[in-house]
Amino acid sequence: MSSPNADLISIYEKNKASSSSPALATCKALMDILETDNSATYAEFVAKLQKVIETFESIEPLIEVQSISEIFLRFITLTASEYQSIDEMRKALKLRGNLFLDKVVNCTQKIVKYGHPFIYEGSNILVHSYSPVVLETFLFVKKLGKRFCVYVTKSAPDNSGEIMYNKLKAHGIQCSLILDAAIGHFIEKVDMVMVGADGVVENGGIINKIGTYPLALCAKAFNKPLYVLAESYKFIRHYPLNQADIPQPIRGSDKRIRRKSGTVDESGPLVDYTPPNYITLLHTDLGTLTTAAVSDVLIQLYL
Amino acid sequence: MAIVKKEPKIREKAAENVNKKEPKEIKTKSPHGGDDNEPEIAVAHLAPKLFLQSYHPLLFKVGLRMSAGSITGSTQRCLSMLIAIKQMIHDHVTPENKDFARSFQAALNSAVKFLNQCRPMSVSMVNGIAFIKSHLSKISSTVPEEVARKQMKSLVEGFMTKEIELAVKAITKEGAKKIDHDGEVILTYGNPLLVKNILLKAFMDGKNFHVIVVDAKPRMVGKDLMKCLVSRGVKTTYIQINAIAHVMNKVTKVFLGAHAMLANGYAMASIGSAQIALVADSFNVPVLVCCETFKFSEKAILDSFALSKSGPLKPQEDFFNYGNTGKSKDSKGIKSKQDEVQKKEKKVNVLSLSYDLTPPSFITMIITEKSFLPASSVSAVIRNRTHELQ
Amino acid sequence: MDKLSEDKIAEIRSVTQVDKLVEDLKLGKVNGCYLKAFRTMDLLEKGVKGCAWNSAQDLISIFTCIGDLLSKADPIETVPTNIVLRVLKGIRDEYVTASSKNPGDKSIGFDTEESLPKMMISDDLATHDYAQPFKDLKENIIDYLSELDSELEASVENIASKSLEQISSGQVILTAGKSKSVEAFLKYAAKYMTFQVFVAESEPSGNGTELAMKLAEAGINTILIPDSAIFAIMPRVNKVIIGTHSVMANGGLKAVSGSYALAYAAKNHSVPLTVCTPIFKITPNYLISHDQVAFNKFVSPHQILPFHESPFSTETEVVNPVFDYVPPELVNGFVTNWGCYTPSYVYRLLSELYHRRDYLS
Repeated sequence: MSSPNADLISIYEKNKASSSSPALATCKALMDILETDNSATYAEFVAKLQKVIETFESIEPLIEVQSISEIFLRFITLTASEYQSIDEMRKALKLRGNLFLDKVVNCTQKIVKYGHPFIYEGSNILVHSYSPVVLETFLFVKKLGKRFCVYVTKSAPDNSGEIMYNKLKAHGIQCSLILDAAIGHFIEKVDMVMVGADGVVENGGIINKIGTYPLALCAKAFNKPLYVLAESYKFIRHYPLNQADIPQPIRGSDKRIRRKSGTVDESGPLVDYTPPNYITLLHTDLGTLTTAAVSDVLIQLYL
Repeated sequence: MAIVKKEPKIREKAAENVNKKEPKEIKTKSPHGGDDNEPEIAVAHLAPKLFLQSYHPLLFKVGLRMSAGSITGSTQRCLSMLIAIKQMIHDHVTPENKDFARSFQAALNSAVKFLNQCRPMSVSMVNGIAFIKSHLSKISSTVPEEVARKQMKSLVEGFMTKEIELAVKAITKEGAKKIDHDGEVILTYGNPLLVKNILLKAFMDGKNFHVIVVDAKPRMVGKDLMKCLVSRGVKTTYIQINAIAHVMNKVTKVFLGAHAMLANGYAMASIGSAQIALVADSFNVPVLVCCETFKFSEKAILDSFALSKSGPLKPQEDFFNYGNTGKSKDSKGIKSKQDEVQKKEKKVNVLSLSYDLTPPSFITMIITEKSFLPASSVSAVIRNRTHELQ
Repeated sequence: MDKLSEDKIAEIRSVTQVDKLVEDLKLGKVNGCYLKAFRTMDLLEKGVKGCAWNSAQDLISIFTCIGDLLSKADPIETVPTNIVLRVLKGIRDEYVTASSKNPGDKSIGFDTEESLPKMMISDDLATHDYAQPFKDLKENIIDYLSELDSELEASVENIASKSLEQISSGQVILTAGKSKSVEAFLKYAAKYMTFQVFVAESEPSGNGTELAMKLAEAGINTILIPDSAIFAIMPRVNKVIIGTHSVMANGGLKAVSGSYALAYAAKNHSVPLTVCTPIFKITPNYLISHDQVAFNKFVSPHQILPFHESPFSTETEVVNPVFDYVPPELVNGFVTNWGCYTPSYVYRLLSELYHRRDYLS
């Protein structure tokens, strides 16, 4: 069983290299599988896909991988119901799959379109960690010629905020790198907070890099708006009640980081859940949504 | 246009207020002609029997001026009352076989009654009277009259100097220090004496700041502050209270005056102050209340309605009637609208409240002559004062 | 969308006489939202009947052109543009029904036309282009317009009739500004019960005073309070009911200046704030900041500091804004002619009222 796994891993890694996000990589990888598939029956095909998806999820335990795989599966089930022979189904799937891929690639541009007017001239924005969508939005606004200033949190434990900071600096955007603990100090200076999301849950809340929840609490205490920029494929069928409710593989994988002391210990959570009442608006490729609208969208998507 | 004058001492100003022949106002040429700038001295409402008693002429003047609205502001009212009382002490003739202290107490009581009828006494005045009475009762009957008189006079003098004059000076100095960043935007409401002094001192110290003066009908006293600041050359913006949400995001600090601080931490200030503190709190702008410790009161009220007795200038009138306070120059404009309202349909009642209570959660800091205080420490300061003064 | 030719625009102008309304809007001669709505409706009816058009797409271009002219006249006034958007949605719906491609496909519910799964499920990748001409389309659209007309006419009564659920006898209501909807609301309730109303003066416009006199004439126990007394009076108040200039897409309000302080004071004392508004005041715009360009309107400072009080009037900056933004968290509910809603539902109303293609340019 290990060699098919190795194949899958190599497919995934190959696609990851050419994609801007894990979701896109998963999508491309699944399309590749589809191309090379030669199952005789529909049931065999679905079973094969499910195994593939499990492997991908174990390689990259991220919400977006999970959710995009689920969408892909759904879309196969629905297409299958329209066709009798598996070959016809495969042809149709390939066509639609490519369109789907196009849509996923263009998601970011749409989000930028809806999100950029919210950054006004002379504004100060606080950002948490590294988010490609937020970065794209800033680059777009910079191109429009607006002046603004960005504060980026370093975002322990992997200091991914530094990646964001370096990229912003490289494009000539005025920015500073701040400690996670300094959020309380800087919140009074900023006009708004912008974050990406790893996943958007059913009630409109988000799951994002650890440190987002205290940032949201701070923003609420100071009456600063919190904007979330997220693609629609990150909407998941999950409704956490509190931090403990976040599904385990996403919450904190032991593979990632271990404490230097060598003691067997949880490495600590990597994501946290921010309830919807702290979020002002979500900018997605479906438009600007309030948290109440997210629930509606999910109903449309899945029911 | 900025003529830098030396600010007359507060006591001299108060004395001017009391002694001037005409009401103290800056004469402006009104295009409407006529000298309708003089507020009428409302005497009619005072019960005729009050005139049966004879009052000290200075006291009488002060009372009527307060009733007419030409002496306003808790500090000024207290000062003018004390000046009058000091004169009363000087002129008091002790009847035969009577003690100076006891007979003066009687005179003081009737004076208090009179002042109350002219206009309900402010917390500052009440505290001043309480101070005098407490010391008056301590004077034993064996002390000769001249000594007692001198003692009382110096006590009143001491109170005026230490508790009021020096306190105002100290608060002005400390408050001006609080305007520390370049390009600060200060918001204030109405025409509080302390805040005006603070702003002028900071300006004379060469600080660079911008003032937003908020005003509200019907009294429109903020206009006087705005005019004073503009004539000194301070950058000023003038708005009405409806626009505070619009300007508040640019404000760095809010300075408010207070009529009194209550023992539960509530600030009793002119109507509208609570609203401003509320909006400032929603924008996370610090609210600084300036109040001398002699205005700290042991009352603990929660509702602005309980203060209604100290509100309207004409106490006999119904709670729901417009008290014509006529302080500002434009009282004419307001009068005509008010007449319209009352004339057309007598059915619209108009509410007139003079003070409201600002909850301590909206107050960031109180500036007193002793120190900077959080609103929760007011009762501690009151307790200390009671010990000190006794 | 192709730009219309000069001739076409000239035809539109002459048939609908849109220039008259544009001029009146610029000069501020149209008083009140209902009047604006009715005049826009008139204009659009003339357009349907008088202009030359073949397909729904033609008519949509015509109306979009009218909408642009109206919004340029006064960008702050959103009512005329909202009515145009509403009619455009109606046209698109009529087309879809007529084309019967997907009979049940009228966009009910939250519109996510562009959503990923929808893309995947339907073969039908081309969205409607609205270009096919249909015989009955004109008739249907005219019917739709007259339905909309009667809805507009009945909106005030509809709002007022809901007052019995919102107010009960013996309550104390606080209001501010001068809103026709609120006036009708309170007058209707006063026929069946007794209650007391505090009206804030809303200086410097004096709108509150006007409303107070109208209410008093109707026999309601009215008390006029100065704006500075709002916080002080709040512990005595059971409900705050106000009107608004427009409702933003997130459920926030653009209301008369002073509403923010009023709403915050109400929240502080846990007094519910209800907003009476006809449905056409809901706009698809969002507010980004309190001092956003084109959010607020400023009128003459003479109302606050008369010009003859120089030199002070020339040496001071005097600001006289007309509107205030009230965030949706401070609003408890909206009473509209369609029904009562919470601010979090406004996104849904938006999708029922307007089509995304029209307001997302």
